[in-house]
Amino acid sequence: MQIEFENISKKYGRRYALEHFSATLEQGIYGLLGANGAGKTTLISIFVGILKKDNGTIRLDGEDISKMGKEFLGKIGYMPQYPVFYKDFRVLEFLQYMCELKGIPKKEGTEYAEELLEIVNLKNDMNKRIGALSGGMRQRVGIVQAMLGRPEVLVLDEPTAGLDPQERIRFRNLIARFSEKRTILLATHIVSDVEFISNEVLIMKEGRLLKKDTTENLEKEMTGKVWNITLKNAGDFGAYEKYNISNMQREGGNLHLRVLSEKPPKEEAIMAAPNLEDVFLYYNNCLDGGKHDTIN
Amino acid sequence: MIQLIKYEWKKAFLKKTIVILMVIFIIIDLIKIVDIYHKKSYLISAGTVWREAYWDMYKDYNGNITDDKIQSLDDMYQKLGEEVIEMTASREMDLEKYMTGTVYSDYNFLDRYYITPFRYFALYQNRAGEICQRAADAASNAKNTGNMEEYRRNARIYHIFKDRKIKDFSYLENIELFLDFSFSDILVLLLVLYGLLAVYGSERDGNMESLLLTNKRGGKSVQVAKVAGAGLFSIMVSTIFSMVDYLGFAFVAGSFEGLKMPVYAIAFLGRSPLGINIFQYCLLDMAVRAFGFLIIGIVMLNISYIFKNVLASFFVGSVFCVCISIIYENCCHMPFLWLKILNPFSLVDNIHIFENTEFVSICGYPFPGWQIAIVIGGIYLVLLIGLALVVSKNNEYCR
Repeated sequence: MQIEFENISKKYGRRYALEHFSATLEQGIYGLLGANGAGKTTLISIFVGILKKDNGTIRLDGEDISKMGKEFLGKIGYMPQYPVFYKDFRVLEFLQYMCELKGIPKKEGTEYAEELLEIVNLKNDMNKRIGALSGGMRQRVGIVQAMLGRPEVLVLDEPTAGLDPQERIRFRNLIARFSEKRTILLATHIVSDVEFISNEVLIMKEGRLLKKDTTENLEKEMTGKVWNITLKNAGDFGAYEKYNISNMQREGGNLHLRVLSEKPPKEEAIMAAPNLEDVFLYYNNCLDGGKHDTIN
Repeated sequence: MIQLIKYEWKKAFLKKTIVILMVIFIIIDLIKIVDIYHKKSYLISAGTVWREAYWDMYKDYNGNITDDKIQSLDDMYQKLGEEVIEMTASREMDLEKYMTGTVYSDYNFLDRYYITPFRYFALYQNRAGEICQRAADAASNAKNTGNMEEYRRNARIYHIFKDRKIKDFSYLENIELFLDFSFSDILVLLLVLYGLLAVYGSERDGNMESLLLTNKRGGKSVQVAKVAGAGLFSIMVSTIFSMVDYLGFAFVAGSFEGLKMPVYAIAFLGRSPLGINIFQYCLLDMAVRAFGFLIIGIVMLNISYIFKNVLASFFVGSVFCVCISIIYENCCHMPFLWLKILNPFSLVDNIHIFENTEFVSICGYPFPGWQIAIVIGGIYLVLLIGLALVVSKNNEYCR
């Protein structure tokens, strides 16, 4: 299974929502990381066919998906941002409706839906109305409906938005569980969603792909660029405002800063092990203010 | 597809709010029916004596109109007439002497509920005969002058009114009130507006619009199901209210009489081109009304698609409904038939396309106006459904 994006662009007026996006994805989990407006949803919308691209080609195992027609839709499972679904439908009833839309026979679809509900721990709630579910439960229904057609590609747009930490962890684990023999494209602006489960992370900014690599490699590149500083006097903070500060913590009278900088911002700065959040912050708030046009 | 239609139905219409609203509207409709009956029927407003007197006499006078019955009524009426002419008779209630208590009351009762309808039924054949004669004369003149269009028109009128006769007497007041009743049109319109204008808005609000498009049957198939669901909803609501109206009037009157009478037995349908009985006419009225609401329903569906905001849809939909109904009310008594039949509301408030024998000339051949109204409605429906399917979104890979 290989998905190839070649020079995908989408413009609104003079502004690029997506600019010459090119990447190749194999089986595994790919985290699409970027701030709001980075182009993640645009890319996903183009990929699943709900938005028309201006340029470029997308291929699935070498075949142009624009020529595949409904066959392509049978290969993908999609979960949109902030799905509300139909509040008056019961969970199983809604999934049966989704089976109907996917062209899955009712008996087969219902059996598989129940299996999936068991996996996501919603089997006991399958006769509840969707309107009565919590946000986390609704998101789990969302991933179940996306999985119904046993898709080769799972596309999830901000699937953990609005979830509490426990639900977010649960959801992450589910994604990891469903990633077997599948490509999962997970768009998010929450770093921890992809940090521990992604095979590769694609960092986007203002419609462009800045970086595509494994978490380890991205963090390695940041070695020597992340520094811990302790300020005994909070009034000294002003001198560090010009830096990208990825974390700030007050402990007693001290202020601990985690600073991104090519060079040590202060003599007493201690080099820290970078994490993906540092990478994200670094590429979204470049020191040089310029563009990163190259990717791995 | 049946399953998809079932789900679309559940999505959009099987909601508590719609069911509750329908129940409330049915209650309001029934209250209005009772109110109308009390205002327009003396059998209710004049007290139970009139009602009892009517049904007492009905046993002897309903059914076949005979000379004996006519004579008997005439004798009764003449006798009462002589008593009331001086206006000096007693106004004290005397139920032993008079059916309804006083001579004046008896006179008015007889005049309204027996003499006038009997006269209309008995003399209808003469009126129809006169129309036939005039039509035959006009057809002959037209043929002589080579005006074939006029000839064909009058020939059709002749054949419509030929052999028309009302043989029986029956109670028709409840049916007259039912056929003249258009209050429920507003209720059905409001329900159709409420039910349909949020169909697409709710998909957008729930972020389901994009999710549907990523499924094999989430494009055109869902559209077809939505159109079918909307159509079924409009027809269902209209039919329910038509039945509530008829049953409401029948139960208030306490009678289901008159269904076998010819439709022209109802005075305001005396010039109708239809030669069917009242039961068949009620079914036709219900079907044509449902067809009219079907067209309006699909208009509402298209408005729901065009306007992203549900409130905007509701506003535009309401304006549309108000406009077509007001325009229709102002045009329905005008002699310009096209103004009437081009308006889809003519199918909803259809009494005005059935009450007169009017023709539309197409290529020199006359066609009854009501038939052309239905055909025009059919054209609107095809265009509206086509619009709904053509402009609807589809997945980019399925175009």
